[in-house]
Order: sequence, then C-alpha cells, then structure tokens
Amino acid sequence: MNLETIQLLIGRDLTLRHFGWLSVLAALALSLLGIYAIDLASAPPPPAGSPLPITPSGLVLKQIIFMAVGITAAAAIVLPHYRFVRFVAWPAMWICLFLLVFILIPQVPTWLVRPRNGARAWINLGPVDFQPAEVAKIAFIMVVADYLRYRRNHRTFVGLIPVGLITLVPVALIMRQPDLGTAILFVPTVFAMLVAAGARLKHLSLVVLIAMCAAPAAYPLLKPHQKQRIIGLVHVIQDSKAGADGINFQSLTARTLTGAGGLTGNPDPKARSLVRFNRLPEAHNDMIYSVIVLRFGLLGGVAVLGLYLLWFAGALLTAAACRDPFGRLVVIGCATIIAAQMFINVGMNIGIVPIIGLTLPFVSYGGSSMLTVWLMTGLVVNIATRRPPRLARPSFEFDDSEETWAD
Amino acid sequence: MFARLIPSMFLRRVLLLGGLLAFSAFLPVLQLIYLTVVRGEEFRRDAERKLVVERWLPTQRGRILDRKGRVLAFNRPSYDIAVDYPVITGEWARDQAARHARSLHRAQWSQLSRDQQEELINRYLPQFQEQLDASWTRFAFIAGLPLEEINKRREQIQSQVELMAASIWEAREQKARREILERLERRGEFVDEDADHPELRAAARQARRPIREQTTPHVVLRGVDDKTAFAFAKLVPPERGVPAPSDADPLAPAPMPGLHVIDSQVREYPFAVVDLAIDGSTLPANLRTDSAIPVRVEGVATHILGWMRSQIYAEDIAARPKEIVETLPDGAKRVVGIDRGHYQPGDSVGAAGLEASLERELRGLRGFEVTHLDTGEIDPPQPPEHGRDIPLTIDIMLQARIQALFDPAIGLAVSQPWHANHLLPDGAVLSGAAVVIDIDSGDILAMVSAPSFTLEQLQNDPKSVFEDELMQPFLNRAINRPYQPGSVVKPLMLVGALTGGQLQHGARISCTGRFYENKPDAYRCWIYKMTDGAQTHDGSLGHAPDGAEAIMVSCNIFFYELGRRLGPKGLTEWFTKFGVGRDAVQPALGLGEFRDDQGRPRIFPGALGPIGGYSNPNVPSVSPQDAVLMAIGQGPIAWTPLHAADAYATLGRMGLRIVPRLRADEPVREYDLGLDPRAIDTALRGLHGAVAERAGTGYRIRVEEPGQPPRYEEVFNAPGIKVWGKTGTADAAALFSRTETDENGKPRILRDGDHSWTVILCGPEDGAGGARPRYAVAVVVDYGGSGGKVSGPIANQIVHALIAEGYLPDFKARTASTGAPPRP
Repeated sequence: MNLETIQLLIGRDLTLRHFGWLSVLAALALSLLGIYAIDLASAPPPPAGSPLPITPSGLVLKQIIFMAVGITAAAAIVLPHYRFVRFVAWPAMWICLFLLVFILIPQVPTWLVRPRNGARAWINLGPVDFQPAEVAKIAFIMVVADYLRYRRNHRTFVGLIPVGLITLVPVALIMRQPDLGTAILFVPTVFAMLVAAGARLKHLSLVVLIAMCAAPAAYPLLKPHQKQRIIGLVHVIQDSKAGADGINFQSLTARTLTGAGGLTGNPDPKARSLVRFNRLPEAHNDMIYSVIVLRFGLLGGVAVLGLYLLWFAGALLTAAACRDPFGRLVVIGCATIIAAQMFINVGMNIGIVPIIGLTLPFVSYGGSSMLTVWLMTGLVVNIATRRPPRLARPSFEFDDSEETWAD
Repeated sequence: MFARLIPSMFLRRVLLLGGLLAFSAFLPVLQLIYLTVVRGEEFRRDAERKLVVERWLPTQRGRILDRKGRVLAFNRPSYDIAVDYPVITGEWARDQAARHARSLHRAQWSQLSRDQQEELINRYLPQFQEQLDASWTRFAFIAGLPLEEINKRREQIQSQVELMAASIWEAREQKARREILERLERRGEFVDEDADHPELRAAARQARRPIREQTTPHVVLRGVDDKTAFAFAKLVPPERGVPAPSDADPLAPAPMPGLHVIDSQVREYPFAVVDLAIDGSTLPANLRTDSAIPVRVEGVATHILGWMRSQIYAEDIAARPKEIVETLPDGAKRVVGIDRGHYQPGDSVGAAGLEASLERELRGLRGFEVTHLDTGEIDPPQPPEHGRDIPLTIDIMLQARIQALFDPAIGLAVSQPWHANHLLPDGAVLSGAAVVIDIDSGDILAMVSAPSFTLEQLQNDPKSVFEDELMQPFLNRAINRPYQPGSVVKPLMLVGALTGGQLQHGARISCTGRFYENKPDAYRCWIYKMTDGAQTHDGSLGHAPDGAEAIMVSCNIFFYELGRRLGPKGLTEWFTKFGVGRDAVQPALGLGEFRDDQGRPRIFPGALGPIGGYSNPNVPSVSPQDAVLMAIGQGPIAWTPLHAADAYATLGRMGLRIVPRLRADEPVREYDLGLDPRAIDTALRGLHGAVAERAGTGYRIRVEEPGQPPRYEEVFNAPGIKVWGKTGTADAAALFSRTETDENGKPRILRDGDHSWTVILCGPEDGAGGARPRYAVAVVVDYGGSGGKVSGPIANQIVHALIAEGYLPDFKARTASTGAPPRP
C-alpha cells in the first residue's frame, strides 16, 4: 500500500469546510446526553448528603464503549471515497439478506441465535450481540441509492415497482423476526429517497393513498399483542386508565414522567428517584426520552429535538452541496431513517404512537444501534468531505415543466 | 413558481423533505407542551405519589357514657385476620404458575398455542399449590381451629362473593346492553336484543371484569387476641421496599401470600343485659308479691345506642370521602387535604341509633405516617385522634328498671282483668313506651320502648325483630311512633285558654253530656257515653266544673268548648308552643339527624293538622270541628311520649320550656312560653286532683277477684311523693297486618281500641303538703285501653324506680328504720 494507492482510495479534492460537522456535533452532543441519561435511568440516587456516585452503573460504561466503537467506525468509514463504499453495497446487501434468512431458520441453535423478548433478531458473537437488521439498514440505503442513480424510470409509476421489490424483501424478512419497528423504518426511507431522486409526487401520493386504504385490511393480520398495543394507545389518548397495570403501564408511566418534567425539569437526585420508584420499563433504551424530559423539562425535550434537526440540517445541506447522485441519496436515506426512528420513539414516549420497540438514535442504550447511526454519520461526513466532481449529467434534475406543485 | 426561484429540482425536493422534517417536529413539540405545561402539575403529582408510602395508624372509637359515667358502649381492642381473595379461592396458585411459566418461556410465549400454554402452566402448578396448601394448614394451626373449619369459611366467603359477582355482572351487562341498543337505535340500526352483535358481545365480556370484592382481602378470623395476632403478623408478606419482619431470621416460616392483620375493634355494650330484682310489694292486685321479682332485662337502650355494621357501603364512603375537596370560585375543584376519618376496608360504621347519628364524632381520626422512599426518611407521624366520648343524660339503671316493668314477668304490660279491656284476651302481651325527664335540667333520664331486642337477636334472628308485625320490636316508640294524645293534652289546653283569655279564671262550663244538641251520638262526654246518657259531670260533681275540676274528671264537654273558643289557629299555636307539630324537639336532642333501625334519617313524628301555610293544597286545613276534637287530643293531631313528657315538664317549670336533651354535652336551650302562673296553678291543682281525689280519673283501679267482693286500690302509692297526673284513653286507628288477611280478604286487624296514656309530674312532699314537681313521666301502652287502669300502675312503678335509683327520697325505708312519721 503506497501513497498513491492510498490517495486513490481516499480520493482527492477533500475539504474540511463542510456541513457534515453539524451532524457530527449533533451526534456527539446526543451521545453524551444519552450517556448521562442512561446513568440517570439506571443508577439509584446517592444517599442524601453524599456526593454523586463515582462508579457509574454498568450500562454507562458499556455505552461509553459503544460510543467509542461507533466513533471509531465512523472515522474508519470516512476514509475511503464513497464510491468504494458503493462497490460493497450489493455484496453487503446479499450478506445481510442471507443473515436475515439465517436467523429465521428454526433449526439454528439458541446459543447462536438467542431469542430476546420473543424476537429472533440477534446473533450471539460472544461478548456482544449482533443485529443483522441494523446493518441491513445501511446496506439497503446504499443499494437503493445505487439503483436510482442516473436512472429515469422511477419517474414512471411502473418504474417504482423494482424499488418496491428491493424494499419488500428485507422488510418482509425483518417483519418475520418479528421486528415490526425496524421493518417499518424502511418505508419512509425509500419514499424520501424516491422524492429526492425525482419520482413524480403524483405517483408517490397515489401509493400512499393505496397503502392507507389497505391498512385497515392489514389490522387483522397483526399479532394479538400488536393489536393490544394499538388499543392501548387509544386508551392512553383517551386518557383512560384502562390497562394501567398491564399493557399500558409503559405508555402511561412514560407519559406521566414526561409531564412531570414540567418546564425546566427536576434536579438530578429527584429525577433518579422518580424514575426508579415509578418503575418505568425500558428506561434506559426505549423510554430514554421520557427520562430526558423528566430531567430537563420541556426545554430539554425541545433541545433534543433541536439537536436532531441540527443533524438533519447537516445531512440535507450536505446533500444539497453534493452533486453526485449516489452521495446525495445515501445522505437523504441516512437522514430519513434516523428521522423516522427518532420521531417514532419520541412519539412512543409522549403517547401519540403505540409502543413499537424502537430506540432513540445516539441516545438509547445499545451497541448495534450506536454503531449504525455513527456509521451513518460517518457516511455523511464522508460524502460531505468530498468536493463535488464535475459530472457528465446533472443528478436528479428532471424537467418538471409538466409537473407543478399544484399537481 | 418554485421552479423559477430554485431552478434545481433536487434542491426543491431537498427543501420539501427538510420542510416535512421541520413540520413533523412541530407535532411532538405541541404534545410536549401539553404534557409538561398544561398537565404538568398533575403528572408531577402522580409521579411524586410513588415516592411516598403512607401508613395509617389505627384510632379508637369514642365511648358512650350514661349520666353517672357508666360506660354504655366501648371498643375492646382486637384483631381481624384477612386474606386476599385469590388466596382464599386458591386461584392464586394458578396465577403464580402462569406468571412463572410466562417468565421462564418469555421468548416463545406469544407463539405458543393456548393448549401449549396451559400445559406449561400445569407443569408448574403443583409447587405453588403445595405452597398454598401449606400456608393454609399453618393458618389453621395458628388460629387453633381445625382445617375443615377454615376451609368451610373459605367456601362461605367464596360463594358469597360469587353470588355478588353474578348479580353485579348481570346488572352491568343489562345496563350496557341497554345503552348499546339505544345508541344503535339512534344511529338508525335496529338490532334485536338477542342478536349476536359484536358490540353486545364485547359488552358482555366487559361486564364480566372482576368486581371489587374479588380483588380485596376478606376477613377469615374476626376478633383474635394479641398473641394470635402477633403469630399471624410474622407471616405477613413484606411490603415492597420494606424489609420483612422475618428477614433477619433464616429459620422463620415463609410468608403467607395475601395475609393481612387488621387492627379492629369489637364494640361492646356492657349494659345490654341487666339482671334486676323488682320489689313486688307495691304492684297492684293480683300482681303483688312480697318477694322481689327477678327480671333479666335484655336489650337495654338498644334503640338509643344502636349498633355497628362491619360492612362499609358506598353511601358511607360517599358521605365521608378520603379527599377533602374545595370548590374554587371558578368552579374548579382542588384537593386540599385528606380526611383522616375516611373509611378503609375492614372498618366498622354505626348502623343505627346514636352509633349512626354520632358516627362522625365517635369515629375518631387515624394517625398518619409517611415514609419517603427516595430519602428513606419518615416524617414525624401525625398521631391518631381518638373519637369523642359522648355523655348521655340517660341513667342506664333507671332505664333498665323501667324496661323491666314492661317485662311479662311483672305483669303490668300484660292484659289483666282489672284493665277492663274487652278487646284483648287476658294475658295478651302489650307494647308501649315511657319517657322520664328531669324538670330542673330538661335532661332525659330514661327513654324506654318495649319490647326491645338484643344485638344477638338482631344477628341470629332478624325476622323476629323486623317482621313481627304485632310487637314491632325495632320501633322506638318513645320517639318514632306517632300516637293520638287523647285527654292528656287537656291541661295544656286549659293553660292556653286561661293565658289567652279565652277562659276566665274560675269560670265554669256546664257539662251537658253532648256538645252539639243536634248530634246526640257524637262529641259526647265520656261519662255520658259510658252511662248511656244517664250521667253528666254537672250531675256527678253537683255543679258545672271549673278548669281544675274539668281536668280532674277529664270532662270532654269543657274542653270541646275550649276548643271551639280557641279555634284552629289558637289551638295550633298552643300545641306548637309546647313543641308539637314541628321538629322543635328533634335537633335539641343533640343527635343531629336521628336514624332509625335501617339507618334512615328520621324526624320525630309530632304532627298537627295543617292550618294554612302548608304547601300541600291537597291536604285540607284544620276545620273548627277538628279544633274541637283536637282540644281533647283526638282528630288531626299526633305526638310521641317524648312530646308528652316535655310538655308536662314545661308546666312543671311554670311555663319555662327547656328543650329536652339526650346528650349531656349539648348546651341547654330554654325559653319562656309566657304562661299565666295562675293558669298553671289551676292546671296543677286539677292534675293533683286527678290522681289524689276520689273523683279523679287516675285515682284508683277496681279489682275483682273471683270469690271476693270488688275492692279499690289507689294507683299511686309511693309514700311522701306528691303526684300530679293526667290519664288518657285515646281512640286509636286499628293496627292492620300487611301480610295476613281475614276471611273476607281484607287485611287482618292485629289490634284495635284505645291507647292508654298516663303523664305525671312527681316530687317529694315538703312536710307541709306542698311539693315541687321534679320529674315528668309519660307512659303509653299501645291499645291498652283505659288510661288510668293500664298505664297508671306502670307510671306508679316508675315513681318507685326513681326512688330505687335515688332520684326521689325513700320514705318507706325511713319510716321503717326510724319508726317516725315520714319527713322530708
């Protein structure tokens, strides 16, 4: 590996003045906030009068390691030019698909694929567990981006079908685990990428309409506990205490603690006690947003949303500045998938979305998730760092004369 | 337009996505604001509530005392042992097995079929069943009862609750069905009631959710002592976060699930049964005996004291809710505190009598201890406040003695030949009431209603208490039963007419036997009626009677005339002044709301016919004819023995009315009726004559024994005690059965005839022949017949009872011991 090869790998035309830093900044802030919040959620309050605990809880230490790993991976993925990343897109996808099928096979021994919470989603790699669905997210984005670049046929209705098929396969496999939450993230992602790629808004609207009409027909297909979650959400919205001891305990407790944050939140020891004695389930992962609002109040909650918007701003600006179609779509895809996950999780915490089991990116406890989102941040930085090349044809600039906003 | 502004399509699309993102962030922010700001306080309270554990410290119910400090009702401390319902039924084992199975196999649980789940549950069931069985065996051992007995109680509780559940589910389902059908109708869907509509099915399922009793603990052992309670306390499972008492001892037995040791109290009434000996030497005629007659008096003052109920009803909780809520000016409600007297499962509540109406004061307040889970601190506890001791004006021994007088063993309340009551067979047991008021203070010394009943009877044989239509033991005749007064109102009428000027002092009114010339069969004097028109009082006295004489001989004509002169308005005014016709008597008893045996609030039924000013237009006003009748205590007027004693006590006080008190800690309320002292004097003269003069209606009874010539005995025979009194024979409405009919299909008449009244004042003689009335006694015997013959002797015995309890001096004993003539 000599200098020339390295240069070829990394590429020329680099710049350090780019919008990707916004995303990095936001990601760092969110990760650090997450570490604090996990400590709040998992460590009991110190006895009155004594200083804060010196030894943080085990989860905190692990999360710090996850963050370090994530940042390292992000840094690693910044180095090679993203066109090389594009080369591994399809192979990575195939491997992911294989793994997704693999973990569904019932014959696979449980020491390898340990069921957790009723889902077969994790492969046991000794000290850590590895979730193929997480990697599949990135692979999927890259595959779709690769497919759509320089193509025109997604401008037709029929041309949307291949994209749909590419989406359908991993979604179906993931839903079989069952992991409804992760699976449904793919849908807005592919939509956003199609929007960015110039598909006609008319066609996309039609698809959405068809989906909305078909949704009630899908309700009976849901599993009982999924149906119960939806009913539970209706109860929460109606403010009834039905199911407060059972299926709705998580929603109602999260809502209560969120509200208990008030405008400016509660002091640290009080917040710890409240989390502990209200027995918020999944306080350190799914419900971490409630913990943050409990601690920092409405202002804190809005600040977290702001940090996410900052991350998205960084990504979108990067997409705007980048000329390469692949790069643009990858960035859009990453932003959308993180946005979708974030909104669903926040919605769960504040009682407008049924409990689906999605974590809050950067903040919730979890290694696989941390790795994925930092990798995505790395991708954004990767694409942002490369100055836009001169292109043979402009990317995703279609003649919109027959298409106006009024359509 | 956008196309011109931003030529790049991609950029437009990016902006679109960016806009969507920003917009999407809007909705969560709104919801956040709603949660944290709009409802933030509420949620904060909810969350903070989990940080504290409240513990209630038990309190002591107040005692009820009589006027001499004897304890009539008190709480004996004891403990109840309660167990959660699922542990009683055994369902607990299955619940635990299910939970265990679910947690062990959590991953596949949702994928398993029902049968597979069942199979897994059954696999773990035996170990929990064993644990449960062992717990119950130990329970029985500690309780000192055979296991079969404990299991029997478990079954009893279970069947009771299931019965309740079935009826509640039924009611719920009916209600829900009705609502759904109505709703569907309004939508235009007409569904047949029995149709298989999904909403109806859902309602049926929803209705069968567990009732409260299926989730709360139930008492299995009531009233265990300290030692047993302590042994049970060791088995109580620990509260969350609080270390178990047996944690320190590894050999201690495993806790029994769902076990609670509840501080309870047993309410005891030490004077409910009193053994007495009544001196038989002063009884009349055939009842007289030289020895003392032993009487066991059961149910002394049951009507007054009432009793407790160990089941809390929704009404009790509603009447005293846990949270004290104040309504702000804008209509919003705010919780300002907790009522420490609120009801908790296992509490008892007063069900009748004073226990019920004084519940608030007797109950006391629990203490309160708050443990903060986050800091581990325990706030300084708020100590419990014991309930208030209530002193009564009643003398329980006097009450017992008077109640003994109504016992059939004595014979006074049993139909005797010298009652001369042809409507009753000899030996029929009579019911009645007696009230004694201390004139100087207005205190009620005794308030007896016979027959009474014990709490054992109430519990074991309630039918005998509530469904005995003839004797009606539950009825408190002293204050809850309206009677026609009859002649006993005459002195009041006289005093009223003299004071008001409708009669001149010393004026006479001729007794012609009948009031209306043209109505020879109505409005007659009793002597005229009794002698079939042969006699009038003009004749028997030799002259027209004046006021005092009219009282003495109880001349009806005299008082018909007074009634005519006073008119409806005048009559009503006087009755009202003496306390009849409005509940002037009731609140004064200091009871607030007096409750009957069913716990319903009652006012004292003293009724007057309406005389304008009443809102019901369908009830006709009192007419002048009615007024004439009311003057002799018939017609649209009714009162109770308490009214009678009170009115006479007012006379005894020369017109000063003191509202009678039952509670000794109530303030004394008095007001002057402004009666003419000469009028009262006249009335008292007449009253004394009625019992002391030969012509008086209450002077003597005629005794006829087989094989002996008829003889006369004086009704009142207590030496050295001056008595002023009036008898009354009040024509009464018949008592009809509500369940039995006679041969004509009409309701059977259980009793008919006249109520026998005697109301007296009594006081010790001062040696110069004068005396001051000290006590007012009113006696009524239901359907007894003649006033002087039936209730008179009872009133006499009450005088003797007053002597026996030290309220009047015992001249007989003094004479016997000193041999000297009686001296005050």
